[in-house]
Amino acid sequence: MREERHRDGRKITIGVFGLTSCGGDQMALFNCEDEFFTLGRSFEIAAYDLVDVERQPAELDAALVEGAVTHEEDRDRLTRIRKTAKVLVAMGTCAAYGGVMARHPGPDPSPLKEFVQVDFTLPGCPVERHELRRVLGSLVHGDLPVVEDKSVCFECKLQENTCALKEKKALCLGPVTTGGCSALCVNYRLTCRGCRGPLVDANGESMVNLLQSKGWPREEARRSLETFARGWLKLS
Amino acid sequence: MSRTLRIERIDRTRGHGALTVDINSGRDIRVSLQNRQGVRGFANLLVGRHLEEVPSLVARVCGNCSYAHRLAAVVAIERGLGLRPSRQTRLLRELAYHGQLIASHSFHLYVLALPHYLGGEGFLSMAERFPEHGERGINLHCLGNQMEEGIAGRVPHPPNPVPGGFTRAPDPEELLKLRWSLQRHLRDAEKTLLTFSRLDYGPVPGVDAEFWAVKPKGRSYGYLGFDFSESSGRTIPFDQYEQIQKDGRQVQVGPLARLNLFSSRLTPRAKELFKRADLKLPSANPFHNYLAESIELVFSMERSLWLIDTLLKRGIHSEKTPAVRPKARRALAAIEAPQGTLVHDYEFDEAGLVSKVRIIPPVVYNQPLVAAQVREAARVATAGSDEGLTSFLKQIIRAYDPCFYCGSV
Repeated sequence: MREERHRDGRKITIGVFGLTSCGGDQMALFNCEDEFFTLGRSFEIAAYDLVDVERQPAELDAALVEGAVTHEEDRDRLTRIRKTAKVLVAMGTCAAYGGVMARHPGPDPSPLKEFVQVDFTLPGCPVERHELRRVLGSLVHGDLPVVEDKSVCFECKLQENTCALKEKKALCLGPVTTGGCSALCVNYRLTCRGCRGPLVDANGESMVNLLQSKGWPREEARRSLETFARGWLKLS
Repeated sequence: MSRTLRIERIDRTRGHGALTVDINSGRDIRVSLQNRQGVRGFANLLVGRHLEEVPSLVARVCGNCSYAHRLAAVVAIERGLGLRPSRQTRLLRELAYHGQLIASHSFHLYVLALPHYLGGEGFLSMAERFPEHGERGINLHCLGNQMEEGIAGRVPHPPNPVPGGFTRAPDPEELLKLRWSLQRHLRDAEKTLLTFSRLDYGPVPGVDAEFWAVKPKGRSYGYLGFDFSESSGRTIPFDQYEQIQKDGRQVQVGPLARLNLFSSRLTPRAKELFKRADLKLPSANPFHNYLAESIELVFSMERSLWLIDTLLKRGIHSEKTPAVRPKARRALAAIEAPQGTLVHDYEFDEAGLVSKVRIIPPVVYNQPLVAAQVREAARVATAGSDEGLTSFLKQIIRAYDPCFYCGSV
């Protein structure tokens, strides 16, 4: 990455924060490893919950926020972060759709967009490193990437996998799930369970019907769609 | 004079933990160590799901040790159903495991712990001022990730293993690449012990603890077994995993506990290094955890080289994963996660649906001991300033590498 600066000569400041989550998306960013240091040439990492002392910068060009909102503290923190950041990115499926969490006696685990404006949604459980790089690369230019609108099926075909849904009648959510993972789970002979959330314009009810036609009970199909993205069927 | 210390975030630990210490007098000190991560409710989430869904879901408990959670669930299911994975599968699983351990330990050592001792700021500024340490930490972390990703498929939340097997074996070229990386960075692991042996951790309060770990199979040091070992010399079957808590005893799990119990089983280079280290066992000094982790890094790398050679010698075969036939069973396993004993306990019905779940991560086992250690440190250092005491208490907690993500399962 070339060294890039703001027009006024200062580095772009980013903050990386975690709400209720497993820390895996903050880890995925750190896992960029050697590129991680290169990032330092274009960015000033002003806060990073996972690896740094606690910091709450007064002003940020961008905040990358991982995790869902499950309690008051998450909500207050998110509101504070939003006030300080020009751009807020929902990093990972928990932040984007609520993620793998059970309903609680208290408020439901909720995605960030239910509380604040989210400028870009980067799904994934965990987020893909190449997509993180794309977001950071765009931020350098004061921009955001184009939203991914290819399904996991699209990428799965490019991998020349046998179709689990068609050939094995397996419960696979590839047709309605946002791609970007190169169909990793199918490459490893599992099926897609929708960890990257709903594809733009996907029809969830129709997916449930399709699975039913393959012999899957409707209830199981519905629950499966909602495992990583609460309210999936309402979203689509 | 009474005083209260509040640490709202124990920074540079995994996840969000907080600490309150009420000091009324030298004798009356109350410690409350809290997990501030929001709870995700995995037990509720898993009930009613099919056993084949379980490994991928529980991997999501932790972004640091997702492989350990996945493996624990898979091993539990296999033991419950009487499935026996092939030798190739077991070798591959262990190799990926060492990858995770190398990544986890090096992250704890270099990213979470070391910066404090080299000037107090976080990893990013440390790496700028001490590039040698920054690069070594990154190199080791990268190596661990490369191994886990290369063998199990992804970091974190890998798609392997699965009950009964491993869905895809790596190419021999992949193994040769890993072999080369391991050899290249073995020196980095050895230097790690040197670095952490030379740090000044300050006065260390002594608290008695029993050590507890999964008793490794066979005669080698390792992370899988069928019983627990305790420093009293007793062997305890897995289904009594709650006994220690019921008895209200303080136990320590994790790298230092494992080394205390099984140092005689280390590989040659790790053993040599251990002998040269300034580390007299048994030790419950929390900071000795850093030395134990450094020694385990070397062990894991040596063991991985052996695993790769064994795999290459046998030849890599494409194996079919056996079909899983559910039965109404209890499925229980304990493994050693990088930070210590991890228990996964399930009950399945005859259709293979989960009816009961218990997951106990290392942070839960260590909790009473960590609190006691903090209390003792506060007692000894009570004359110091709030700032100094806060910093010291954080160092003590950090040394145990508590994972508040795992704790908010």
